[in-house]
Amino acid sequence: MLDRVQIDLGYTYDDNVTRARADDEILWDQLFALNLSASRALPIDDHARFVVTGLFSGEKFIRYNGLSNLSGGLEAELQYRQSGAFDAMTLAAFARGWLADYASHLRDGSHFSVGVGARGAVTDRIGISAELARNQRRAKSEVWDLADYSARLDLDYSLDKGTLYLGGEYRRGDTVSDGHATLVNVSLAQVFVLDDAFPGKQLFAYRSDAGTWVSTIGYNLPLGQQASIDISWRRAQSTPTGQLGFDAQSSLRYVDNQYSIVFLKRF
Amino acid sequence: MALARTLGWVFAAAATLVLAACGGGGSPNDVHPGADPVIAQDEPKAFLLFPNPQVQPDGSLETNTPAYAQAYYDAIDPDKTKDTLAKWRAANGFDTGTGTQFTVVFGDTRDLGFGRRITARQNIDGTLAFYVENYLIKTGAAYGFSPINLEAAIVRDPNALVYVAGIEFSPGPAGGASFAKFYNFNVATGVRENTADVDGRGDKAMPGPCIACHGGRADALTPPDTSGKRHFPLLLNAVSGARGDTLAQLPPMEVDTFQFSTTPGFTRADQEAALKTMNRMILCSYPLPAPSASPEDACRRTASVGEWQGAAAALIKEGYGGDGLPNPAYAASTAPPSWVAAGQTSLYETVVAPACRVCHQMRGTGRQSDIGFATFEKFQSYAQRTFATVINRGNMPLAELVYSAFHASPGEAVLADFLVGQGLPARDASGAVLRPGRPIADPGPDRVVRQGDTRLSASNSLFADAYAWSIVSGPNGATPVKGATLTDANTAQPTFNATTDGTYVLSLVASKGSARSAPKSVSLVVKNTLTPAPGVIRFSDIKAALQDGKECQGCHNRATPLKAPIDFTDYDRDGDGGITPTDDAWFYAEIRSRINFEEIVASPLLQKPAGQHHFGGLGEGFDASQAPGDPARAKYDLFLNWALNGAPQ
Repeated sequence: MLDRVQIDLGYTYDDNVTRARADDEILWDQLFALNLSASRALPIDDHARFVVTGLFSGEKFIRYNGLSNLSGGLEAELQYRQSGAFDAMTLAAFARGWLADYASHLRDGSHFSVGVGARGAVTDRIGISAELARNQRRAKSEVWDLADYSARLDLDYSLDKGTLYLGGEYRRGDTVSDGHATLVNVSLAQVFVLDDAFPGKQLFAYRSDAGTWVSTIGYNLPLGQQASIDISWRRAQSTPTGQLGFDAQSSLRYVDNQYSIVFLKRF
Repeated sequence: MALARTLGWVFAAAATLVLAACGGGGSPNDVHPGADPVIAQDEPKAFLLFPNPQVQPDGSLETNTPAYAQAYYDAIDPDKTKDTLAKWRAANGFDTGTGTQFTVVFGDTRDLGFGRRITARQNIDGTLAFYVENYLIKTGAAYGFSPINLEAAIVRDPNALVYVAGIEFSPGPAGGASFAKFYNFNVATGVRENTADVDGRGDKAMPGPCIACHGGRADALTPPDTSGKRHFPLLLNAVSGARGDTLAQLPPMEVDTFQFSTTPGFTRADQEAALKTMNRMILCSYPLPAPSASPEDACRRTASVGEWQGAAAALIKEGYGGDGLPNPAYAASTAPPSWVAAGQTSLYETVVAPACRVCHQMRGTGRQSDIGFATFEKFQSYAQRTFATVINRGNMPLAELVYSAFHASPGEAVLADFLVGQGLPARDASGAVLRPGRPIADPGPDRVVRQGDTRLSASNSLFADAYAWSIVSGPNGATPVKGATLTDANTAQPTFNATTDGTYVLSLVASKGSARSAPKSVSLVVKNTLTPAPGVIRFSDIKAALQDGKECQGCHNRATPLKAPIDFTDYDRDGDGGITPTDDAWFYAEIRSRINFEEIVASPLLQKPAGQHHFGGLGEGFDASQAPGDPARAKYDLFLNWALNGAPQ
């Protein structure tokens, strides 16, 4: 019935879970994540198919449990490939949505993305994929009512053993940071709320408009035909687009690094 | 067909996902920067307005109109030499390298909640000027102080600059004694503005929001002169003799109530010397009631008996260790000896000092200074008014921040206990302190009327929009009542009709929604021989009473050295060279401005001659302690009925 089922079990060290700018606002944490996905492809004709994927994931944070969450949703993707030729591109249009339930209930809500993508092989070793998407999120607190556009480009390079991959993504739109109730933070904020994910820290989560670069480098090592180990470093750098009317005396951008190791098993 | 089916699948899936996109709606704790504070429906809104805002026949508040502000600016700057911030700064010598000039930055935690950046200067000729930038980060929540307002003042965040005030102490356009003047400038253009919003409660006309707490008066504008121009009132007890001199003063800098930054250059220690210099400058603006050998008083001019006596000087002096100002750092003064001796230290420290003193210490004259609350006895003499304004009306404390802080403080209960001790019901049956916002019925004061129709009014009731009147008893307490009717009894203005003389007691219950007031009764003494009839009383009748050669003109006369603020004689008020009907119209405006149409019994025109806080004491025919219609209060009845009828000219 299902064409593909995949389970990921991973560990991540995140050096800035608050997505904060100032040293006294930056908090780190470690998390364990479990992702399940199950897909079913429905052929349309010789060139197109429709793929429906069910998604479920859970994240458990060690220090700040408010960030722990469970989510589940669906993705629908229409794929089109002109031919079976090696260099033929696969074009896709997708919509995905999922519901998330956080230990911090301010974040509870839904996510929705629509977009288009393309992927294909450049050489027998190099794969490439790209995606443009519009992403929206709604939550109990307006701070996490977010909207942005994203553009992503991924490159895979197959080695003799495993795959090295690079990813680059630019997001333009709403982002959320945590910080103290300082003039700079309040001036950047469109809306803010005392964040219940960091009890006792007096940190306010605030939404602001920003441009965010996300880069990823990783290595995937196969463990037989259906399993692999993946290690990656993901770096996000976000800079507010709004202008302050005064000299903030410090950089307004935040940087976040995530170091992950994930075991993937496909059925 | 296959593609169409597929697209159908895609759209169906997308629609499902959209429908699943739940959440949203916002958390009650979400804060939107820049949003104005939410004002509760029944919350008092009269902050920074004068208790008597000069209600006009059309219901407008004259002191809160652009015309009032324009008349004020025309009076203090007739040639428009200070109609922009740049011109004002130049006129006051800012950045010229002469005189003394410095800047302080602090958080005003008590009064207005701003981060404040004040650049002060004292010119070589002794004139003073203060350029005040006020910073506020609006968060949509309750209006109040936040340390980020102070941060904004330090970095001069233009987005948080909510208003810019210019205050100067200098002679008027025609010279003479210096007096305080207040300007408001647009934060973006620097153009002088007629209004300022200093507490998130909306724009208010200048100079009202400033002088309401700085000791100023808000009398009515004059009627139009021969050129059609209305003028700012002239107060005859002002030493300057200038229109635009509202008798307002510069309040002391109570440094202990400020919040300071830890940023170098902006700490309290870094600014203490400048703040002391500023307080010295402010002290120089205070008149001196008695000779002083203290060097800091050498710059003060001698006080006239008709003006404020510089009472706030005591606060500055005590703050710096007394005469000579020996201490480098300001320290809050303790309760004055008279308050301690009266056993009222707690009342002073929890009520008067934090919630009343800042404004009241700027008030009073050499002839009558009860309103300054300098002693417990003076405060006590205002118990009835305190009850009316703090417990019922909610227009005191005068600023929203002070008001909110007071009602959240122990002072609220301390004041309630004091008022209960004065026989005033400041607590409900369960013992809880009463607060403004509940419906309060006001059927108007007891009065004498003639037989026939008498229009009643519940318009002085508070926080109510529905009314129920009834006749409780007739002459000699008779029930059921005969010979009297009440029509439109469930309206704000019913008509009472009596065909028989005697005293009738009526009752009013005011309500809003399900909240009902306690019944309030009013006695109407029907006396068909009353002359003149209430409905035909005109200003000429009032003027005749004021000019009857008995008492009033003994003081209210420019020719006397007593310096009363208003003259009850006929004189060339408009300065056109003769006494004309225009002068009479101006006289009428002066007298009408002494009526508080929002609370008629609190009108100075009634209270003063009735002996309340009046240097002249109780006037003949004004004994309000007598029953309506009694000859001992004949003038009071005359004035009262005139006021109740709208004080027609």
